[in-house]
Amino acid sequence: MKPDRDDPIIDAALEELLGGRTPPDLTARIMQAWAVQRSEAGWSEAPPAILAGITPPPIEAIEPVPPPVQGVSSAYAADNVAPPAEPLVRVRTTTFSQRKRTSVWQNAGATAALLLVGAGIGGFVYYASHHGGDRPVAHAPAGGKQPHEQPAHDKPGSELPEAPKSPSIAQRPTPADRPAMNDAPPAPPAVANAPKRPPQERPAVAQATPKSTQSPFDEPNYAKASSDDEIIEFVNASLAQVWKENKVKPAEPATDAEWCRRLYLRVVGRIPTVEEAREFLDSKAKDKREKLVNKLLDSQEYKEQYARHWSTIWSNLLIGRTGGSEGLASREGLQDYLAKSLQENKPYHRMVYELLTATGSAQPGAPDYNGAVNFLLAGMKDDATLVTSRTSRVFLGKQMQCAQCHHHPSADWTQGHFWALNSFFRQVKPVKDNEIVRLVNTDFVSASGDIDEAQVYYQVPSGELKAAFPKLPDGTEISPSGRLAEVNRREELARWIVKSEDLPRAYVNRVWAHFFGYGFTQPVDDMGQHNQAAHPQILERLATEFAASGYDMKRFIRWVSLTDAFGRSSKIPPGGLASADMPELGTTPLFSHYYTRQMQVEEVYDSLLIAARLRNEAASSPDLRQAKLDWLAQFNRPMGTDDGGEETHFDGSIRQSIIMMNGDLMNRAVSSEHEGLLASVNRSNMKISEKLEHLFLAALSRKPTKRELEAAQQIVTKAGKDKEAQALADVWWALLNSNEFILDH
Amino acid sequence: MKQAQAPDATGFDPVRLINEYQAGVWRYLRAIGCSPSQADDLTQETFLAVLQRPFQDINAAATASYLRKVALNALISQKRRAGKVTSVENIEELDRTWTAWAGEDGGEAALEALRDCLEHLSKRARLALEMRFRQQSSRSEIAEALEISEHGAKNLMQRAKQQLRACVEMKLK
Repeated sequence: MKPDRDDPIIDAALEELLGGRTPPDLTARIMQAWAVQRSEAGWSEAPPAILAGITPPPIEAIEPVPPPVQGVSSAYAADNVAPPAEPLVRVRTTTFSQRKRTSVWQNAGATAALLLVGAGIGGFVYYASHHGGDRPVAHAPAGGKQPHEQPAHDKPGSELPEAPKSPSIAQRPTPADRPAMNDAPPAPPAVANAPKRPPQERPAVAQATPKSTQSPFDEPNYAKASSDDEIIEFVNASLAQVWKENKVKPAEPATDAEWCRRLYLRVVGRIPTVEEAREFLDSKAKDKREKLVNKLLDSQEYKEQYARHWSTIWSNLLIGRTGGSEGLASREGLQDYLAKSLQENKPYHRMVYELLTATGSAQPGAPDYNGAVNFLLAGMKDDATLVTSRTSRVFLGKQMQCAQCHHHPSADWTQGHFWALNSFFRQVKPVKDNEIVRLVNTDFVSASGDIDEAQVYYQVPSGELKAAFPKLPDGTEISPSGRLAEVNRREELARWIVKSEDLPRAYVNRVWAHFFGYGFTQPVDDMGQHNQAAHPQILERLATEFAASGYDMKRFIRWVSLTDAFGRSSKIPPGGLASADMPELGTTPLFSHYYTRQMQVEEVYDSLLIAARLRNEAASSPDLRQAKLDWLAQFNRPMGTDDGGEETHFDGSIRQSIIMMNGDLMNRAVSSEHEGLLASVNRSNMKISEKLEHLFLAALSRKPTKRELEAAQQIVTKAGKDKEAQALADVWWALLNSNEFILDH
Repeated sequence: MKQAQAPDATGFDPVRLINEYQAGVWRYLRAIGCSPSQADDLTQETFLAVLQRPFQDINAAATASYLRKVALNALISQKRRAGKVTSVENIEELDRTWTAWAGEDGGEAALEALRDCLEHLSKRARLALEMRFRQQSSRSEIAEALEISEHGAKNLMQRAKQQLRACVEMKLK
């Protein structure tokens, strides 16, 4: 591209409008060339290669519908087209409007010229063919052969005349000499005749991708990795610089109570109990925040809670909130696999690899059970399109689901990219036997019956059918064979993904967003040139360090939890330029204050249980899980869209308000009869003020202010001794239905 | 259906076909990145290819679309021979845009819209584009005339072209 010529359409139009480069009149030139061509070769029924796959306008067409086209893929058949010819005759160019004015005269003139030139050249060819002339028309029928017969040079022993260095149109190979023209163009959209890549288009790397036996995982490079303190300091210093450059005054440090509450919510998915909050608030240790982070991540006491919370997060990402509730996949199986992986702090890239390459049974307890298969099982229908888009979105931070049906409107993803990625998920199928669902590897045979070049077919918006072969997102093609013995496509993809720089980047962006409410891009799973990241230096450094740490998920959580930004208050300081850091209004997040947001629905559920002490430890794990799923199901439902979209009512809706105010769970939480916090508070010997303080700590993780305490005491006192329990229940209900309870702040 | 040939009793007229559609094909080729001389050659190649096959001009939209596809394949073939396969994706994008713009008139309406849109540009932006496309001025000459940096001149022209594109699309809706 020439400098300042960056938009071919506008550039060409401006060159025409301003520079006078108007369309030339090529009529005479084309007609002369055509006459020469016809006289050389006679009439050929075979279409030239560039017409391969293009159907002329339909005869019966009524509506001006563009004819079915082959598009780019048809160029595969065009190898044998002669190079563009030098023009035989250069004609003086006129503008389109000039040409229109003279078209009538030109019609007559050009037709006459055509007849004259055609007659002249025809006579010459006749003379040459009958008098052994040495004109280099190699393809003129020799020895009196008819034009449609095989040219002499195609037969054994015949000699092909040396091609001229600068062929003129008169010297170009004739249509009859172009082997590709003899092939009937594929007739889309019949799959049997679907476009097939010719042998010369086979990827050069096909032989270089045998099944690899090497470990796909790089060993963590601890020598390159920085210490936790260095990384946290880098993030702090980078954000401080951002605030300075944007003239933003950061919020005051969060109180211990605020920080403790948000840490519990982010790391274990619930608010702290009264005892946990008191323990932290009463501690005088200078490093008590660091100690609490370590305790939640590493202690045996919280191991299971951490794993349960993060397995829920990852399950929601991998199969959606409603995924696994019906169909082939088992949500329980996936969550079980994830929880175990998280408990042992399995490196993230290893977990990703296992999810992408898993085989085995879906349900816990089944023979060869492997819960990881449920990620694929939940998205295998409809030719695994859902798995394709989820893999790209969750692991690589690239949204390409729209490229399933059309080119991505803003990113570089085309339909070809989507289906090339999709073809990696075709050597696998679910098998159901006696209610046990298994995911098994299998050879992939394309719809046209080809296993050596097992391509997938997709339809472009024009209706044309195209083929895609396995091609990694970086453009690397792997063997097109569908035989597992030759190449395991899923393993090839997984190997590439776990070494991709996008993997740690996407993880960092997503988990950062989990802690702060906003990631470095918005949305977090739509990264790329079209959606530049805010603070790229932080994103890149964290991604690099995360990879260097051996994809240690707990370590990354530790870094984020201990940053200065995570320790800032959610209150915007007086005089602070609030508008400069209001991502909810569309500004770039600067993380100068903690962004207040509503808890996730699972966090509300678990926090309600913890606050009201309703968690029945005696109940079996499946029962607890089912009770939670039932409650969550009130708010979520699948949309039935191609990309697995879901609808949630836990977004401040009336349904949410009603369930939070009067639902069964809330009624149990505020019941003072048999179970729960309120019952034990009522039975205790605490003074009213102490009881109220306890309730505040339980719901809001902080003690009441003086004003709040006075107001609450007034309510209880007014109710009288007989109705003290009822008054406390009212206060408790109000606290659980307050904004402060449901918000992460 | 009548094989393409010189005008005869059936009424098919290759000269008319070329006359009516060559401007649209040429503009299309320019729009997808061809130089003027390249567009000349490929326009010729397009019609030569089409004339070798039975053809009936049913209606303007179908014929124009058909010719564009043949021209696109001619360009792709040429690029493949030159080992420039990588630009195909870009061509597809340009193809879609121009096809939406071109309509049945070979792009005349789009050019007319562009002419109007030029009038709405700022004086400086229009001057920069006039210098660039009419006078073939260099970027440094434009920068000097407008008393801005070369980078500023580049940005000014880029923005102006973006505005033009948006304006044309709006007018063609």
